Amino acid sequence: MRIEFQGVHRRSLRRLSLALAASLFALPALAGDITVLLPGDGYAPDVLQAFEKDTGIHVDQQTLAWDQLHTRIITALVAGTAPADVIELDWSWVGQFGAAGWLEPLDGKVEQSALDEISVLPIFKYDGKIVGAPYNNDFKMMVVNTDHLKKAGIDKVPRTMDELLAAGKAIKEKGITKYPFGLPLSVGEATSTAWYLITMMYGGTLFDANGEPAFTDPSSGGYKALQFIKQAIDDGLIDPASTAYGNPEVREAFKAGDISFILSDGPGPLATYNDKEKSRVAGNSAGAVVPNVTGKTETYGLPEALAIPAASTNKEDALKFINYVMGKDAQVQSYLEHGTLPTRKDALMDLNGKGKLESGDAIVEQVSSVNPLFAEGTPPWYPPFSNAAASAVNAVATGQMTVPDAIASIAKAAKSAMNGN
Amino acid sequence: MVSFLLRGLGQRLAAIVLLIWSLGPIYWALATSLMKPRDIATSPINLVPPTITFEHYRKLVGGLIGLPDETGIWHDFLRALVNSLVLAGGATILTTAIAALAAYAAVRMRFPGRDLVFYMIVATLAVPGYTVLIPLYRMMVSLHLVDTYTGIILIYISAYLPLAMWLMRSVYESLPLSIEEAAYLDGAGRIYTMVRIVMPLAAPGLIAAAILTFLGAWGQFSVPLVFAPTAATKPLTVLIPEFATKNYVDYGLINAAGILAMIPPALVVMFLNRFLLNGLMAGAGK
Repeated sequence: MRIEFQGVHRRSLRRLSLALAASLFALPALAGDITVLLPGDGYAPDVLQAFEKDTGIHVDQQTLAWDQLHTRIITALVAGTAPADVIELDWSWVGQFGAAGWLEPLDGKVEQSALDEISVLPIFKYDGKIVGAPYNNDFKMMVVNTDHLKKAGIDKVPRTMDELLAAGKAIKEKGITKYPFGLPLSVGEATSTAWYLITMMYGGTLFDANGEPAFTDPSSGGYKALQFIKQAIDDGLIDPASTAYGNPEVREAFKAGDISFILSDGPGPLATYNDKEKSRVAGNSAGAVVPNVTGKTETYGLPEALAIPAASTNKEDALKFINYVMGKDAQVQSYLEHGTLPTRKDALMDLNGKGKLESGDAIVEQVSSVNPLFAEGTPPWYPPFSNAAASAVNAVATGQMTVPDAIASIAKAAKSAMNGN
Repeated sequence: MVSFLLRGLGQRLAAIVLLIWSLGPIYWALATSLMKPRDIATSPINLVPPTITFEHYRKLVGGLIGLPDETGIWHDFLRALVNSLVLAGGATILTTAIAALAAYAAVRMRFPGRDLVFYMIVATLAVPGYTVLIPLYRMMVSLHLVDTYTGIILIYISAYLPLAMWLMRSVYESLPLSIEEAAYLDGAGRIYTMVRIVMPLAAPGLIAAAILTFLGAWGQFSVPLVFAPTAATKPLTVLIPEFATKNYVDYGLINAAGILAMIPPALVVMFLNRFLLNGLMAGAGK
């Protein structure tokens, strides 16, 4: 037995040694002229090939899962190196990256004709300078199951909070679905951003002109938003299980036909909702403008941008790439091939005019009401504030905290985060 | 008699609960991997696929057997599988080899600071990986070792060597010194004795160290996330989460990839499990 084992061991050892030797001498991947680090699928091969043909610059595109990008980028930037020549810049990272001086200012470098078409540009300004070129549009909007509305005898999508509540109650009372409203309420970014949106639905803002929390007064939008969430759970309009839900779980529930409204969603997943292969509500899903107490919609943007790390060694070619993909044709092509929603208004209008934009009319209407969540750009203290808000909303939803206590805890966390504690 | 029957029933029930607890998630992953995306989005959830589909597996490995696939996922998946095998395999061989020699030196050779050096190496087990990530990254950049097999394998070795050395030291300590002394009396040198006499006896320990290193390296996520940015070195653990995009989570594809990714470590454990137990128990009865 031992002899047999030794024979196998020796042969295996020899083979593995050869493999190891080969691996140790393996060369790193051939470096391209520029490296681009993006989430998901990145840019479609056609877009990259067109750029390469146009400029002769080779693009080495690297992709990572959305949730892992921040870790990868931060590690490299903190170490004083560039993770790639062009990197993803999420709206929520602007303050953190800007304050650290990690990004190359793009003022006067990205073509003005492109920037003039982009309403979400202020979101990517830090200290008055543009640090990112928005390439992937995202903003909060509502998604509805039109079939549920029809069955409930509702002939138009709610535009006010009263209409929304009435529609939700009508759907529940008629037994069309048990929980008509879908809302992520776990401790995560999706929950805090949902609370910000409902704050806007009640006509409120997060911070006043002096940077003070504007949600502590019971008559404020933020306070009413938290009361709305609590009441909707108590009334059975939101599934109590939502306290464990992030965006993916809410979207799955919508695709299964379990909910009638996703109160806080974006335009990105619309194509999936109407894909018969992936959704049970295909053909009955539509994007809708965010309701408001006044009936005049208001929302905020969560777009993504392309940025150049200050440590990049090939900023010139990186800039050429950014200018190319910010062009109208490239944005239209990226939407048609990968569903990347354009940030340029002319690209959106073009797609909608040709009938190729999913829920196009609602998107075009909503785009004109997109504001930055923070007028001066996302501050460096945003991440701890967002965490505190998500925890407090979750605590209210699970009944562990009252609304006044939760509001007080968010305000305290905001102050603490602003002071760098 | 009644208590005997009750005890038997209790044992069976406990075994069933344990089986469901252990195999339930694997069954669910398998069932999900065989469901159409539309059947995954249902309420209540389908525990059994209403219609079995192999479309997710076709995306992952179909290209290998000539099936047309416009997504090109199979190419990335197979590349990542090879990367995982090379990284985990390379780290396993080197870690085991170094541990075999270093632990032997720590047990049988006399030199100043022998115990101090050994315990300092083992003490690095207590250092959380995240605390050294940034300095390590700087070092790897300056050595041009980011995105290379060499760089990542070196990091894995530094991570798993202390445990392997600790294990091997117990194994060597459990071996009677008289066997080696007899070999020396017969004229054998230290290297010959170590390779021809000690190593075969320590084989269960070496295999246990190899299994632990392989399983650890196979499941590594944070190191390759930072040090393996491109398809050239990216392993399965980093690739599979990419099937969840910002707007759509492809549960079928993720589960199918997970099922395939389970196969190599499962084979390793199934075929070498008996050595793992012997190796880990070495020295226990000393």
